[in-house]
Amino acid sequence: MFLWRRVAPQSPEEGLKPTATPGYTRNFRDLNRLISEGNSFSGYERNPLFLNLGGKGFANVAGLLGVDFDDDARAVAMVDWDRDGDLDIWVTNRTSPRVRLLRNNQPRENKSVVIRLIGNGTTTNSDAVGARLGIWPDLQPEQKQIRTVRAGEGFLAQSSSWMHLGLGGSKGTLTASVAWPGGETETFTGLKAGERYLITQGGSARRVPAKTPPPAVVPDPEFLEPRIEPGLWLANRLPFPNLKYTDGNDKERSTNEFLGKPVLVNLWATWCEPCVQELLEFAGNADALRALNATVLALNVDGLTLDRGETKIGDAKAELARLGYTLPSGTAHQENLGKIETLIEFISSRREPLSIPTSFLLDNRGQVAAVYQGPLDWEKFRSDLALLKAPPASQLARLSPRPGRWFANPLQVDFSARLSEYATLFATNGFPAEAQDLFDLVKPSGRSASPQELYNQAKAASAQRKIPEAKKLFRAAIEADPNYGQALTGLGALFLMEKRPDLARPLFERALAIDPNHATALINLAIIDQSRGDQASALKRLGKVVELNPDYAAARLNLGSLYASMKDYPKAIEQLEKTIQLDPKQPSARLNLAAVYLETQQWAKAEKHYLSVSKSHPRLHHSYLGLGAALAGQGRHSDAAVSFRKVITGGLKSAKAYTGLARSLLALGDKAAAKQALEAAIKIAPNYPAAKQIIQENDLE
Amino acid sequence: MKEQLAGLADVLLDPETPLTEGVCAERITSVDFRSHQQSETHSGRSIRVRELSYTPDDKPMKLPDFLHQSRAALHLDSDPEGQTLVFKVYRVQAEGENLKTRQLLTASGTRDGKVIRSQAVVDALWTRPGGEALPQLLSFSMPRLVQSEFATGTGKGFDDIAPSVLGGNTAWSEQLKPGMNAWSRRIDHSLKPDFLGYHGVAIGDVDGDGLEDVYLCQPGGLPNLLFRQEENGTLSDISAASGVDWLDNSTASLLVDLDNDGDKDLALATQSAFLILENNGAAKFALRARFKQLGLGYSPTASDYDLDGDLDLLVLRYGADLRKIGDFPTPHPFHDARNGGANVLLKNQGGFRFSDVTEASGLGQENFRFSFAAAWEDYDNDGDPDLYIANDFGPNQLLRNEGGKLVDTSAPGSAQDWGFGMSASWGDYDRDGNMDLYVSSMFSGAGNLVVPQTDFNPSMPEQTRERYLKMVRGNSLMRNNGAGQFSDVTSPMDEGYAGWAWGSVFGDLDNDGWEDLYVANGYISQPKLDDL
Repeated sequence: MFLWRRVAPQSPEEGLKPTATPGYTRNFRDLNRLISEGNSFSGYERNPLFLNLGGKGFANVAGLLGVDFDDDARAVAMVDWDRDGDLDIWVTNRTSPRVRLLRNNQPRENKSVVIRLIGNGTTTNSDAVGARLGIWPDLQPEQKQIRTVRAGEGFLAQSSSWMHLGLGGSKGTLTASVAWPGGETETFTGLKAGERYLITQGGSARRVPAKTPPPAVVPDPEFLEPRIEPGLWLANRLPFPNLKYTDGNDKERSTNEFLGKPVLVNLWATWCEPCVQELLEFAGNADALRALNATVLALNVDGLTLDRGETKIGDAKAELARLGYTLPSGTAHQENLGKIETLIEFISSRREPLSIPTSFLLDNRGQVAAVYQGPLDWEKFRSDLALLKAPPASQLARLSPRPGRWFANPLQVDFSARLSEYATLFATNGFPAEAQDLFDLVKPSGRSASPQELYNQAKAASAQRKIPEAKKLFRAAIEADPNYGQALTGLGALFLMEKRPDLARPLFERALAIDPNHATALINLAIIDQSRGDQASALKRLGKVVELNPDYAAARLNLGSLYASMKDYPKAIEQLEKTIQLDPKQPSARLNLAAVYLETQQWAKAEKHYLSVSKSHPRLHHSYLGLGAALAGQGRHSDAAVSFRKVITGGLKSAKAYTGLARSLLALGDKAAAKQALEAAIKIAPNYPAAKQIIQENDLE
Repeated sequence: MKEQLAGLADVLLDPETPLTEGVCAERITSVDFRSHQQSETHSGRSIRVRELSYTPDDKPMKLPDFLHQSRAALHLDSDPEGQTLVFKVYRVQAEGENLKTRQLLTASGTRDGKVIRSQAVVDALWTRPGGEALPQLLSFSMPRLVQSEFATGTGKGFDDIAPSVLGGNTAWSEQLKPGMNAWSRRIDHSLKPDFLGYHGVAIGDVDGDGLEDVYLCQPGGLPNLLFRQEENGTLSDISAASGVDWLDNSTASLLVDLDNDGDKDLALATQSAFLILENNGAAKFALRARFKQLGLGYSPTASDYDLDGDLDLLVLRYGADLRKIGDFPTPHPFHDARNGGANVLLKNQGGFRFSDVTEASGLGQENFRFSFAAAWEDYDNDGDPDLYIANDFGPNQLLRNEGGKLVDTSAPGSAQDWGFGMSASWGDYDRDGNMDLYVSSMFSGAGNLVVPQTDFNPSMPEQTRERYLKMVRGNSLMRNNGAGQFSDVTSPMDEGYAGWAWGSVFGDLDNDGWEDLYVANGYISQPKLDDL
């Protein structure tokens, strides 16, 4: 559904630049993300076999014939593998098993003839690809069938060049005509059903005996997908994120303390039996590990949220003592698990909650050499430890799970670029500080960074509010690629944030010169227009973005807010409601919408949205201010008073809140308290007209 | 609606199951299941297929009668064990005050110990109640029912003998049995263990012993596998000894004689380069040509397009350069994407030298689609190979060969199928002497449900919506009328209905003289079943 509800309808009618359609691009990216998070996408679909109903259509009989597998199938190739006169089928799959050979067992009422053509190698290629074979029974020439020799058809597949022709119930000898590519046609007579022939160009049709058929089938009735031994060896080691943990003496420590020697960082839980077995094995080899100048850091994750939702808390210390485990240990912190997940996402492109046990083998420089998702046995651990310092050739051999040869050596990569991608993923996943550290590692390499890398670094710096640095990086990206629209808008947005529209505007306009539909540039220019009072221009720009990106929440939010400021409330409501539908977690749209509902005295609707923000973002205290007004509007003054008080106790110095409180208190008949509240309001804003008005109206001087 | 249909299916499967109150009205307007015409459309010794056409005027009948009759029609009335009935809804629309749904019914029943499979398109009418109430079935219209049965009732039609023929190789148990969901956790992503599993198969005799051998492409980090067929039909792994155990992510290969010396050379599409290797005749391969700019090619095909006596090579490029940016390139626009990779035609110059004739041959025109596969065939019977290219996210292309120039024939009636082209294959399915086309694309239940709705991209022009509707319809059967014209003769819920289809190949699987089709199907199966 996601593809059809969220991605496809966002596509523009014409091909536009990606900067014009962030809504579409974003949803496509979300689709990829959902796949990497383990969602199915047209999964478990069955393969059909369409039986030809005498040239008058087809019927799916795959289920009857037992070939309606629900694999993620890919390539199909046909061949009479067992040379028994009927076609068998090779299929490759994405899922287990990745290949099937479907042997045809149907009862053979009809014979076939199987023919391979051989070209002369001069006027016709020797494989005779392109040659057209026609074959007919001499008694029924109207039953002519044709085939063409092909090399590669269907998806990623090449079927056998032996052509197979079923003969139905026909009797007697057959005649074949071969039109060789280029024009010449030859005829071969006297062919017999049930035989195999090699037909050579300019020669004869030679009968080829079928060789011994294969042995009896040994099916695999208990077919189970085998477990692959854990252990992903990295082609190029990556810095391990510095993990904070608490040691046995409640002291805060970090994995960086292990720099200088190899360490296996192991995540375990008391409720996880394979983890316990693994630790027992490590404990038993503690002396060997010390001799190798290596160690294990066992980090307990009891009580943390993991994929199985287990949050049971056992006594980790007691368990380690019971196991005789004396190597380093500690308790992991929940907020660090996301960093590990980011690392795993980067090396496996799978975005999944951490499973237990998982271990990371770090070299003496704190770089990850291997990741084990599953239990690691001691022998493997020891041999991988030895491999840490092995020459590249051995590393290359360990890299692929099975031996073979590389055309492009995977160790020869642009490591800075890779590190930069790694940093970017940390930034995307909400770890700007880690990202910054990684970007810092990229810089001294002497190699000039690509505009994309500079842009990514700028984004990370900006996320950390390192504004001068972010500006420098955006400028460098623009210098490296003057047509880099996103860098231009990125820099412009920083100036806009600093209330320097004079500096921001030319940047956005430059971005528009590159792509007249650049969505971010249009939105920001609309904001500048609006601040200058040019609502017509702002409306035009935002309208364009929404038209091209109907599902882009940011554009709808701005358009809705613009309508609100223009007091076109019905249109504001329409846009803001749609924004919330698209991005329910974003509070700005709700706050704006609720304010519109207040303006239009739709108290209950305003209440609903303020309430929602106060729940999702309890620290946005001014949502209580609006909520108070919405409640007061409905005459629910004691609830309103509670809400106004929440604003005040939340630490927000708001004359409006005190005034609202006073109004509700008056309505409840508590004049003294109301007076007190109004005094507080005037203390904050001595000339606050609303407060003064209430004082006068109610004679509270 | 889905729940209601599932409830109805449960009751039809097992009369003991109480029908949830309110699922069906007291009286259901339906075909009279006892009044139909029957024609046997296939009567092989192994398989029989018959088509039942019901008298078109539906009549109201009492609910118990409806249940009883439909159960009997689908042969669900003898043995509740092992019987199945599934409805797949793919269209919902308002019909006055009611709702109309269209769904595919597939059932498996039994009669006299034989399995009877049924397939039909059912139109159902439902009430549209307000509030919490569920819709109630009012009518059930099924004008046509196709039933098939396995005539012999003995043994299986096919056996998967991969474990038998491959089982002697560690590559089978260690590499080929595990799927990509598992391998993706075990191979560094930088080695490109393609999670989408785009890895193909080539059949050819590499050692000249008269027996077909097989080459399998593998994800990055696992070696491609060449298996030699032994006399007894089993396979031996000769990948390393033959010098073709490439670890670079590989999509597809061809075993073809590129130097006309009588043995099968290897053309291989990998992520790193397009490689060409020479066979010494005894299954020893040597790298002879490499095209680094042609990484990430798909479905290479060989053809002597210029009729000069040697085989030329076509490499499809899908989203070639875009894939570097993310996992999946963003097609622009979705229904008519023009930002795909450029396909390349390599002309054989002899001696394993190839020159890029993409532009000179005319292939360079409109060469920006997301091309997954292509198939050569002389569709106009003029003696030279023409080319059909299956493109994802847009129109497919038929290029007519005019003396070595490939001319795009994108005009009405030109087989310009529109959709998510995944592959194409040629076969004269109706034996009229002209090669017809079967094109794999995608049937999407979700797409069929969503696209006709007015809130699906409301600003979309009607022509675009029609294209979208064609895109989600599924596979296409294009009949060649001779004289260079094709007509779309697809019966959408018969041969058109596969799902997310990939490879499809014609082959006469029951030797009756008519070419059948096997279709590889399904995109990504993962633990979370919710469909994207």
